[in-house]
Amino acid sequence: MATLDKPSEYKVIGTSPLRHDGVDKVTGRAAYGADIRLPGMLYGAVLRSPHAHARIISMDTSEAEKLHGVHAVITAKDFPDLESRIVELGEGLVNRKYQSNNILARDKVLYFGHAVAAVAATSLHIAKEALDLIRVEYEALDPVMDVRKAMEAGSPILLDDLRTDEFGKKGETPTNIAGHYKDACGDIEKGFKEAKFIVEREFVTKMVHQGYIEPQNATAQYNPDGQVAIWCSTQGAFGVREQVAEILEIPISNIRVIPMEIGGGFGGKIGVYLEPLAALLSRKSGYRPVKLTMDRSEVLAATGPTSGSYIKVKMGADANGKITAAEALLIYEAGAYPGSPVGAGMGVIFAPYRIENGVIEGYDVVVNKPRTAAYRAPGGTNAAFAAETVMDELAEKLGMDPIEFRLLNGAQEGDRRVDGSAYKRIGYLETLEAAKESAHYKTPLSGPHTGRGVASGFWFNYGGKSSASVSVNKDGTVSLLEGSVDIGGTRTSLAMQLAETLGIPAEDVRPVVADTDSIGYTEGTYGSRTTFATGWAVYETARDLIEKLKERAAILWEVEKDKVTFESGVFSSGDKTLTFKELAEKLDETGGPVVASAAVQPKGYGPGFATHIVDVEVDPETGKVQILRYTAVQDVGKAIYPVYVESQIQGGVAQGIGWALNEEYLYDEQGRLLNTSLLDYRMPVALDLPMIDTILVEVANPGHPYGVRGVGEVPIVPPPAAIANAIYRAIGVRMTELPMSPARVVEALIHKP
Amino acid sequence: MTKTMPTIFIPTPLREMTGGKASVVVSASSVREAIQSLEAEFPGIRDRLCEGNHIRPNISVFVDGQVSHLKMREKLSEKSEVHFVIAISGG
Repeated sequence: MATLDKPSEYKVIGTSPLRHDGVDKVTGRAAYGADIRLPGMLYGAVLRSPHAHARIISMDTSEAEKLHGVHAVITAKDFPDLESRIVELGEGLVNRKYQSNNILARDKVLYFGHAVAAVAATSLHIAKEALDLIRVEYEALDPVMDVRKAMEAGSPILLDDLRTDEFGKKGETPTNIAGHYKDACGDIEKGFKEAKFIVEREFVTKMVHQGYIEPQNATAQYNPDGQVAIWCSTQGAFGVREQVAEILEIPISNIRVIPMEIGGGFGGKIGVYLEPLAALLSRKSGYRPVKLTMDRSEVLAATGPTSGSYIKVKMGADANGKITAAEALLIYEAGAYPGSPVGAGMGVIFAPYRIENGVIEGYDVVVNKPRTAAYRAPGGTNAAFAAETVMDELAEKLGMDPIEFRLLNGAQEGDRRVDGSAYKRIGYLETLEAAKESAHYKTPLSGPHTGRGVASGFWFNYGGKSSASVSVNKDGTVSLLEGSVDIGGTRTSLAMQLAETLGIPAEDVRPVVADTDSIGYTEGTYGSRTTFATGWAVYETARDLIEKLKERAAILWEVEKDKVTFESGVFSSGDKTLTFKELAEKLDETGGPVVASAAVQPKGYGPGFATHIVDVEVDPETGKVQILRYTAVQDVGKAIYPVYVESQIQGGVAQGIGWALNEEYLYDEQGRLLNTSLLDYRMPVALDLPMIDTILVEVANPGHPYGVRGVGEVPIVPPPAAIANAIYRAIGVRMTELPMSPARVVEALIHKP
Repeated sequence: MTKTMPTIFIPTPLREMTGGKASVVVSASSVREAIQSLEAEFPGIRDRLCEGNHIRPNISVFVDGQVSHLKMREKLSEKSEVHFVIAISGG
């Protein structure tokens, strides 16, 4: 598909129409999962483990069941006892046995906060009172909290059936190492021999949470006929349907999932936690609807953080600044069950550069922490923190400007990654050039304890399955049904692509996010895919609609369809013309309503690259790092709605700054999470951040009709590395552990050589 | 009939089975045929890539830099490049 290469001819794309869901959102009328109220509804609560690692000896729920107002109590015994099997759910893979055991522990609890039972009662207070009446006898086991200790021989084993997978070869003995992966190219020893400068460093990053503001919630109504409806906060309704079907072993056709508005997900709302509980509680309580909502402590203790990690990077460059070799070891926390994003981290770590001699090795390791979930460019931020810090140090040893060093080694079309695959058209070098020419980079930074850092980042992006359908209204507006949950304004970015193709204003499109019975299969809003893939479905739908409307115009004008043309919203045949709106008014005269639909699974998504510049000031007394100025440069393909693209970048940077400076899971020696509120788990607020400037580099993606590239994930990749490099310029110490909190900065200053 | 000759990149952990070869040109017009050709030359390699008649669920097939949804059924051309990589997910 050729990209339309005359952006100035776009009438809708690149503009800033009013957001379709804006009024509902700013007036508080938008309906979120916690807003659900159904007749006869019960309220659920979940009992959670006080231990990080323990065997469940016995569980007695009889007293809870007797409490007045309690209608159902469930434990893992109410779930099917599933065999281990990997299930493909769109982009993600789920072992349904582990998924089930994560939702309710069966024989062992594997992290502090692991759910063990759930109750439905007439009020939340009664449900919580009932939790206190459930007697659980545990045999406490030693927790394993560190990946390197978890890998040691003799370390306590979390999962008795776990064997190391090495690309299809299974180990023979129980282990905490779920996977061992390796990519290599060239001759690494030769590469290091050719190097004049070699930098080798070890890095540690801590587990962090996605920090979505809206906690998980789910309401289920099970019917005696086996049909169940689920209202929930999710990034993908179809994924919820599949997971619930797999875990409860009920047909997907019996499940309808209604996605509510979502108050953030960032990858953490792809997997299910509460939905199967709500469904089973509803069934067991005599088919009354049951609502479950988490509080913040449950969100932090038991829902998807992303991996902490240990990473070692060694890179060498010759006297001219050419990278001659790059080697990395990445060990990622999977949490309680396998599935860390170490594979993605391996793919990110050297992605921006031309590496002729490289080795990347990765381990996926289970520890007694919550099962990790995707988090915005999963695994990428950890990896870039390590590699981009080493890149900065190499540039320093070479006496080169860090951007010039990256320009010299930056990957471009045709270059191969360490895993062997070759890039198509990418815009990494363009981000470097734009960063070099930016007002920020050209403005000198002065003042004591200030420093400027630069770092780059990569993310794969994704396509996936999407569907859309449209119907034409008599007033010339178009109703658009789509299955992508709206995160970040995708209703509008999709409506704009439809409007552009149909030649109508974006305001004339009425986008609706539909439930699983009302639209074709659509993967979740993740992988930076929605504006790309669902946008493509919308584009194909519009083309189908145009063909159908040409037939109607032909009927009106009594000509053959091939005599009708369409351009910029106007149908023509000879000297006769009808605008889209005028034709819509005449549909009743030509055969009645017109609808169109399309389902796609497009390839052609292009990876995203970014280069960030940050100025910091460090207080050497307290260790506090103040962000003075931040500029994020990103190849965004074609920006459909530039303000939203900027917002995506700013949001990613804000999260990256939090990850860099403050956020971390703090555990005591017994593996109990210490910071289970947002007072203690310190995410950045507006006062912590300056205006985050953005530079959108538009290298149109040739694999999309409108040149779209995913934009949501790559902006979280460079911030910690950029900030670490800035801190080095400010105070002369290399920070190798995240977060770079005041205490760690002071400690680093104390040990400064 | 002339067969196409795509290039199959061998995942690093499987190169112990290919005598260290990082890529192999095979005669195949689909991913399924490519794996059959690999198996004929390097016995046992199919089991590392496949479970039964399917690619292992934690392995993604990339053809010419794009993830293949058709996997075993994906058609290959003369210049096709096939990579097998660990499946990843985005947030």
